[in-house]
Amino acid sequence: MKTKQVTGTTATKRRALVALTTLSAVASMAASSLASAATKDVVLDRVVTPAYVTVAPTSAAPIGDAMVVSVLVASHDGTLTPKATDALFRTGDRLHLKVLASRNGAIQIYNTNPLGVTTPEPIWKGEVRVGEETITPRLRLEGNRGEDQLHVVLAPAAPEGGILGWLMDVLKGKGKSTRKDVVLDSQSTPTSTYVVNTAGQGLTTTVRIVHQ
Amino acid sequence: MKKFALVPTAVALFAACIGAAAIAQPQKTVVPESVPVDSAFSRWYLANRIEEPIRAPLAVTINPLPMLVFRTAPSGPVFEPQPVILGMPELPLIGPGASTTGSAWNNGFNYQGMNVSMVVVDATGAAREFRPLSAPVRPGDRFKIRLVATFDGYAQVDQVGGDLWAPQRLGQLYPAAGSVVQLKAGETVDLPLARNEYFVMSAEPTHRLAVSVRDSAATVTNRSAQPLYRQDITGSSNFLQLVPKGSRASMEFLSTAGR
Repeated sequence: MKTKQVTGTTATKRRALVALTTLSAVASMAASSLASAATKDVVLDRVVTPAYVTVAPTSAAPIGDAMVVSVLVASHDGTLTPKATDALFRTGDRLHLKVLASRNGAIQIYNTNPLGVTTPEPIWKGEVRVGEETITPRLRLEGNRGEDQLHVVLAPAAPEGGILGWLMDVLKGKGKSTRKDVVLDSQSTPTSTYVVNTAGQGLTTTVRIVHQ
Repeated sequence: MKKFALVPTAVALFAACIGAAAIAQPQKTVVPESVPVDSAFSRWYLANRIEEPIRAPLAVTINPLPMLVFRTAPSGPVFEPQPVILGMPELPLIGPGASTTGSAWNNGFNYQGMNVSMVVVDATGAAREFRPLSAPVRPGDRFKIRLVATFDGYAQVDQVGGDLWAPQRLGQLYPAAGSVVQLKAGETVDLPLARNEYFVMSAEPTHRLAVSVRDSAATVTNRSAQPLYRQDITGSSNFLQLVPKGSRASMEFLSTAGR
């Protein structure tokens, strides 16, 4: 009798523990799904809202940068097909990069070659304006082997160590860095990548080109 | 009693997870409801288009307008075509009355648009069909280019040659060099204008047409540098261009021959 009572109690505890674990996992997945689904909405909200403002933004501190980046794959008939930055591109692909941002600012593109060396100077620099899209000239990267990376950067204002230093710091931290003003969140659809910095200024996303 | 205590704990944990996700989102500001520009333009186009069946009988003797022929290899300035992105833009339509577009399109909107149809004489020569740009004309096909734009503008057709990745302008094909075709907002225009005139697509694989339509008030300094977005529908293609304040619509697309 005593043995049966102990078994029953243990089984009940085990069932309860399984139920609690399952419920926790479901809750965590739901919260995570809610957060990742919200990234695109957060970015679009921050990118679209300034377009409604008739007066140019003042120097008030931004609530956190946001940008939408697409890689436009060119075809010889003159059309461009948009893809997210996490799509894989191949040597010889002719690409443009398109950026839509939540504030006026500088866009810079840095290249990390297949040897892992990042160019000290950007391969392209331009300006982005609120409510307008910036498209780079056509880019084409060719190589024999390995992978080239293009880092699209919405530059923060006067970062310590320069923009390259800021970029290397963020890449090393995989979206977070010792700089407390950088916490990046991103979401990709088939045609665009939505990036937001929930802590302050500066954004980056990376395009990979595979050489085979 | 112990097992019942687990239930409130689980509920509290669930609520905490959802609450944390909600807190992570920033405060939203109050803005007008977003109006997708593609659906607004579709409403405008349906109110302004000339309704014809996809295949309509042809009742004229065709006078073909062939593409330019060159005795020697042609050359002209190399240019990078205006970006034409297949798909829909991210930014919504903004401007007074944006949610109620019908037959009128406000010049104060942040987008301007144009519908283009390739009107192609079919193989029998007795009927014509309306095609989007995704169904290109073939070498030897006789065709017109049908345009209807949301703005008053000027249109012209240039011939383009050269390498497929380094196009060159070879000359103005229509109308005669030095002149343009005038369009009114909402007016459907077929190029060439004469009822019996049709372009003939060249057999030369690198020959293409560059069709440009620009706002009548557009100049070199104020024309919009924003890309075009193209959406193909039954019988035609819609083009949309973001036109920032102070700028004017300026659209150009290439028409290539299908193989």
